Amino acid sequence: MLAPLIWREFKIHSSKALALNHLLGPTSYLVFLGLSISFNFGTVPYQGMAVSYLHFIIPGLIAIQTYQLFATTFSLTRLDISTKMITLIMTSTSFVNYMVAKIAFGMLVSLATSAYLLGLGWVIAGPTEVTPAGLLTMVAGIALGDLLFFSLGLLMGLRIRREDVRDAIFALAGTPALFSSTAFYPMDRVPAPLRLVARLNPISHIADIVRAGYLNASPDPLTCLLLAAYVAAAVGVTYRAVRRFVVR
Amino acid sequence: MASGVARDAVIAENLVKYYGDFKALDGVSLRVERGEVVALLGPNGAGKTTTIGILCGLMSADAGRAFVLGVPSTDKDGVSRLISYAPQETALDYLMSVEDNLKFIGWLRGLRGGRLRERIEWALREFGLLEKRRIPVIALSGGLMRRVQLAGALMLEREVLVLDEPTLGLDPMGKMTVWQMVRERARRGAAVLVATNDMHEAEVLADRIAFLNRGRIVAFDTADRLKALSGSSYLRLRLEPGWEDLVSAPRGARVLGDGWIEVEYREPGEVAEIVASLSGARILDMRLRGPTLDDVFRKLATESETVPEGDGAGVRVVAEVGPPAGG
Repeated sequence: MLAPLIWREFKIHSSKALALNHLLGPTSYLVFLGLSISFNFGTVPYQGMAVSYLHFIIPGLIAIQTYQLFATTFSLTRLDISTKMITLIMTSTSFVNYMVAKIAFGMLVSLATSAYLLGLGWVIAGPTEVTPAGLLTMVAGIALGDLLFFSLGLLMGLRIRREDVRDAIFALAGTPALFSSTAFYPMDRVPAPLRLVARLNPISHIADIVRAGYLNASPDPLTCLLLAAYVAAAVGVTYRAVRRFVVR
Repeated sequence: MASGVARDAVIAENLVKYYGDFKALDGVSLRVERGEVVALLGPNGAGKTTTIGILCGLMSADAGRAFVLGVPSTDKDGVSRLISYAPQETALDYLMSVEDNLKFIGWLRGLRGGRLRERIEWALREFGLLEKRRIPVIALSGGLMRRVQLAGALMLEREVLVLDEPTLGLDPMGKMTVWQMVRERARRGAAVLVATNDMHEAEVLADRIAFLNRGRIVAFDTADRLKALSGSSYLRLRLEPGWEDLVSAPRGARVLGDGWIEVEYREPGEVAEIVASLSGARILDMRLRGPTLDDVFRKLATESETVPEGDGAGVRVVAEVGPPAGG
């Protein structure tokens, strides 16, 4: 019974507003932020190499767009609850199917947006050679990021009813999560007081894994472990919340 | 009825449900037979939606059990394949069009290909939605949203139909259309459970009415037999203005306005006594009426609130409920 749920996700996401959101966000970051900062940074050191800032920031932007799944899942879950769609779905199929359809479509959108970012980056900054192993590493990083932020978005969507609280969470979590990460600059350029936050920030881990794949380097095992632990914890907590929500 | 086929499609046995310390259901038992419409009638907060939620597998009971066509309601997936359910609130995807919503509901609940297209066209036509098919649901009025929701529930031809306040917000013509469709579905063998607090809807639509108050079914019978339970009739009198200065109102009289009062009586001989007690005033008009469901509803609500905890004396006629046949 997944097909109608995936079809519905397609219908929702093919709205002009969401499609534009998926394309314009990464484009703006790459064109306005990436290009302007690259004039000041030129190159950044990465695992003994000097990498152009534009190539450095592309994996960071891919990591950031996985974070978008948090906001999208949060809002759409809340909408499904407030419009009682969730009741309709739960009296027709299982909640697991609902989640699988959402995460599957979310990952599809995420991978498509990542491919778009890579294409746009190569047009602006010139192509780089990504090995199959590197591509696999990138996809793994993106998938883990999607899973993490989908779980958190679903958890918040189930738990938080008030829109002002949701807005406060976006405002309080969003900016620190994005700017105290290694999405935009390497760890040694993160201001010292923020370095601990950056080291614990999952966006840093996603950016580091995707970057390693993109620049044909090996991802740090500790980074991979930490991200996997975050994903496991988020999925576990969300699963419990879902069970409580379903069996009332 | 074919032999071997259980007559009761929906069975609830002594359902108990707590929300924190609040006892929302206090031993609810009922049965809905195939080809029958049962109205679950009760005031707001009586436990109607909770009862339906348990039957549809949306929530668990703290005690008791329920079955739909022999499948326990705890088997949510099993029950979801048997019931066509329209919740009290509008359950539609606001971002999709009317037609896409119907397609989604039908597809999700097992319709495919040509049959799905056929049922969508039927639903759009029967519910007057043909011209609105491409409009996003968010742009519709509340009444039209309700129509789309009911269209989605009735386009499925399931053996059990559960409708929670189905005609809330519909215009009179819309209500009649829905009632006709529901009756037709029951005539073709479906078991229908309708939660409502609209007496008229319950009386027009249902074969039997389960009156739910404060989490208990205090009466369960046909509308006529429930009205007979009342044992009372009513005398309405219109008196000349200023009558209050001339005579005392009869005991238990209700003032209805515009000079009308209403007095409940049990024996025909009481009418003459009531009229005689008002001989000092001028009677302009006089009418008799039998009990309505409103009267029964009011009386049962009052009585059930005075029944002590655990005392079953407030229950008038409750279906005998045993284990599900064939379940």
